[in-house]
Amino acid sequence: MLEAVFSNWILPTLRVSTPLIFAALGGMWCERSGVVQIGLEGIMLVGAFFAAVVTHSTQNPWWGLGAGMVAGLVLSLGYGLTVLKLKANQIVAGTAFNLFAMGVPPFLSMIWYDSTGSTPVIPSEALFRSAPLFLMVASVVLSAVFYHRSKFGLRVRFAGEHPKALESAGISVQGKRWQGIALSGMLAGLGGATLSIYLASSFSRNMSSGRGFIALAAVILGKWLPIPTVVACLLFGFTELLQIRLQGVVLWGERPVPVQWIQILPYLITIVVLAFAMGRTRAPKALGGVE
Amino acid sequence: MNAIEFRKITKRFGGFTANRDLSFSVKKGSIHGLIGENGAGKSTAMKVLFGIHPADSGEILIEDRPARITNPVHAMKTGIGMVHQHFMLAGPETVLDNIILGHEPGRVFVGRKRAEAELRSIAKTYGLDFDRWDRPVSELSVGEQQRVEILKLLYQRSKVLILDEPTAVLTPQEVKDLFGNLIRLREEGKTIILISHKLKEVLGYCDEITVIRRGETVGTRKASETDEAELARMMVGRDVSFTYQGERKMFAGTAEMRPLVRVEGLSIESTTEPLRDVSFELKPGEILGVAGVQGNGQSTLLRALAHPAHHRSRWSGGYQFNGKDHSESDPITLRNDGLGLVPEDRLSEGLLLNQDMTENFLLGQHEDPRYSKNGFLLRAKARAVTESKIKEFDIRPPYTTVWTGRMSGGNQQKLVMARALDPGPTVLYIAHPTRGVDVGAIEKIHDAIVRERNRGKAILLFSSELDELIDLCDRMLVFYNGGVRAEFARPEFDPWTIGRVMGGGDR
Repeated sequence: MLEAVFSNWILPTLRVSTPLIFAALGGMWCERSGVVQIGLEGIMLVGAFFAAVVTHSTQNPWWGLGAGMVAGLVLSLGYGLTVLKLKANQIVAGTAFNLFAMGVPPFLSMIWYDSTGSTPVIPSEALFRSAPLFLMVASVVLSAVFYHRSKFGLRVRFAGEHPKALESAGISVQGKRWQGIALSGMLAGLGGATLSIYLASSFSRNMSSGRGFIALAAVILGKWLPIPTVVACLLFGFTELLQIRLQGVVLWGERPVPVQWIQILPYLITIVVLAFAMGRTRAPKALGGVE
Repeated sequence: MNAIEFRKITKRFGGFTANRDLSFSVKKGSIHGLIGENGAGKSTAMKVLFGIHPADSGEILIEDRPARITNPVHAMKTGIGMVHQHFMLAGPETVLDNIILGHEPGRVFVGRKRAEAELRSIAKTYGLDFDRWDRPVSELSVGEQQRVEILKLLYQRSKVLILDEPTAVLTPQEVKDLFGNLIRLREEGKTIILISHKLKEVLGYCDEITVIRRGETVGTRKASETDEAELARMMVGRDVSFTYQGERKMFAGTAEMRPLVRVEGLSIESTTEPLRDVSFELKPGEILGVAGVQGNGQSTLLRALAHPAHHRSRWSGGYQFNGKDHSESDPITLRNDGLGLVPEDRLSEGLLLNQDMTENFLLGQHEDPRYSKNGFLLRAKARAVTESKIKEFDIRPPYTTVWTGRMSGGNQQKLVMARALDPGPTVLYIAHPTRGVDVGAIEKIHDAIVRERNRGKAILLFSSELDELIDLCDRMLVFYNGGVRAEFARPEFDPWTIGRVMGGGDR
C-alpha cells in the first residue's frame, strides 16, 4: 500500500516538480539579491533546448545537463548586463529576454535539423534515469543551508533588503546581485535541461509552457524562503501530475472531461493560490530597485 | 591627544563652498558636540572625513598623524564609525545578523555562536543592556535600534563614534538612556562626536562644542564655559530668543464662545497606544497644548481626530466638530468642514518627497474648486498660488519645481503649514511643528501659529518639546497612559510640575 502510494504519487510528483524546483531556487536567489527575475521562463526554454541538442550529439546526458546550465548562465549574464550595468527596467528587460529566448530554438533547429522548433528524439539509453532527482534534492539542501547559515546567504539577503547597510559594511551590492543572477541562470538552465532530457526525450516547441512563471509564483508563495518555495513547487508539481492522470478519465456522466479543461488545472490553481496568498507575503524591500 | 583634527579643510561643489578653512579638533576620550544649522556644512565635513568627498585643500589628522581616508570602508578600518540619522538596519533580519554583516567571524558560514559570545562580552564591557540577539530588528523600539547601531560600531572596534542627530527620534526616557550609554563609552576610552542642533543636549552632555556656520568654524567652547544664548548666536549669527516674543493678543471673548471642537469620553482601542476616556473642548482664539511623553496616547488622539472613519471599529465616545457630529468622518469631510492638519511626521505623512512643491501643495486639495475644474487640475493656478505661498512663508529654495525631498526640514515644514492654512480653516491640528527644524526657522513657524490664534482660529498643538508648549499655549492637557492626567491654564504653567505629571505624578 505504502509502496504503491510512493511509486504512483510521491515519486512522480517529485519528478515533475524537479524542473520547477531548480528554476524556483534560482529565482529565489536572484530576487533575494534585489533583482526581479521574470526571465526564468526564457532561461528554462534555452536550457532545455541546448541540453537536448548536446545530449543528442554526444549521447551523454551529463554533457547535455552542463550545456543547459551554461546556456542558462549566458542568457542570465546578458540580463545582468542590461539591468545591472545599463540599469534597464527589470520587468521590461526580463520580458525582452523571454521573447528572445522563444525565438532561439526554432531558429537553430531549422539550421541544424531542418525542423520548426524541435530536436530529434534521444534514445532512452542516453537519457537520465534518476540522477537529476538526487541533484535536485542536493540543490534544495544546499540552498537552504547556505541561505540560512552562510555569509553568502546573509549578504545576498541584505543586498535585497537594505543595500545601503550592505554597502556601508564594505560589501559590494552589485557583486551580490551578479552572483544572484548567475545562480538563477545556472539553476533555471538546469531545470530546463531536466524538462527535455529527464522528463521527455527531446526538445519540443515552447516546452517550458509557463513553468518559469509558475516557478516565480512558487517563489512568491514561498515568501522568498528556500523550503517554503520548494513546498510551493511540490504543490504545483502535484497539480501537474493530477492534470496528466485525469486526462481521458470519466469523472461523471458518460464521457471524459475534455482534455483542454483538465490542462487548465495547474494554471488555475496557481492563480487561485496566489490570489489568496497575496497580501500575506512580503517581498525583499529593495527588489527591483536601481542602485 | 586629539582623536581627530580638521586643519583648514576646504570643499567646493562647483561654485558653492560647503566647507571653508574648517578647523577644529576633538580630544581623545571626550564627547564633542558639532552644531550648526541645516546646510551649515556639518554633513559635508563628515563626508570629507569618511572619504566620500575628497577635500580640495587642508588635511585631517587622526590621532595626531595625517590621514588620507579614501572611502567609508577605509574609515571603518581606521576606527571611525557613524550612526546615521536613518538607521542602516534591515527590519526582517535579526539583531545579530544586522550587527555582524560584513564582519562575520566564520569563513564560509556565519559563525553566529562565536559572534554572539563576543557581542555579549562587548555589551557587558560598555554597560549596554541588551540580550535580544535573535529578534528581528523591526520588533525593537527606536531607542533599541539605535543601541543596535552603536553595538555595530563597537563590534567593528570603532574608536571614534559619530552620531548624527541621535535624539531626533527618541523619547525623553530613551534620550536619557542614550546619554548614559555615551558617558559609559567615554569612560571606556571611546571618542564621541555628536552632531546636533539641540543646544540643551550638547550643553548637558558634551565636553566641548564646535559651532559651524556657512561652512566655517565659528569657534569651539567648553560646555562648562558657555550657554544656550551664546551658542545660538554663534549658530545663527544674530541673537535668538528662546521664548516667544511676538504679540499675544487676548482674543476677545474666547471664554463665552461656542467650542469648535468637543470631544467627549473618547476611547480608542489599541494594543500599542490606546486612548482612555478623553474629554476636552477647543474654542476659537486659543491654543490648546497636548503634552506628554511620547507613546501616552497623543499620537492615537491625533490620528483618531484627523481620520475617525479609520478608527470606527475601535472608537467609542463623542466628537463634535464645528457643531456637527464627525465621529465617523473621513479626512476630506473634516477638511471641507474647516480642519487644517499638520501631521506628526512630515516625511512619511505630510509630503511626497519625489514630487515638486506645487504637487505637494495640491495634496488633498485636488478636489477643491479653486484648483480643479471638470475633473482637470488647474496647474497654472496651483503653481501661481504656490509661488505666492513661497514668498509669504519665505520657503527656500524659492522655486516651485524643487522636489520637497531636497529641501531642509524647516522649509518642508513651512510648506506643510502653508498647505494646511490655504483653504482658510477654522480649526488647526498641528503636531510637532518644529521637530528637526533650524533655530532660525522655529521663530517663523511659531509666529505663524500665534498669528492664526490671534485671528480667531482654534488650535490643538501636539509637541514633545515642553518649552514650545509653554511658550505658545493658552491651556495644556498632559497625557499619561492614554488619558488626560491633568489640565493646566497658562498662569499655572511650570515646567517642573508639568514634567512630574508627564511622568505619572500628581500636580
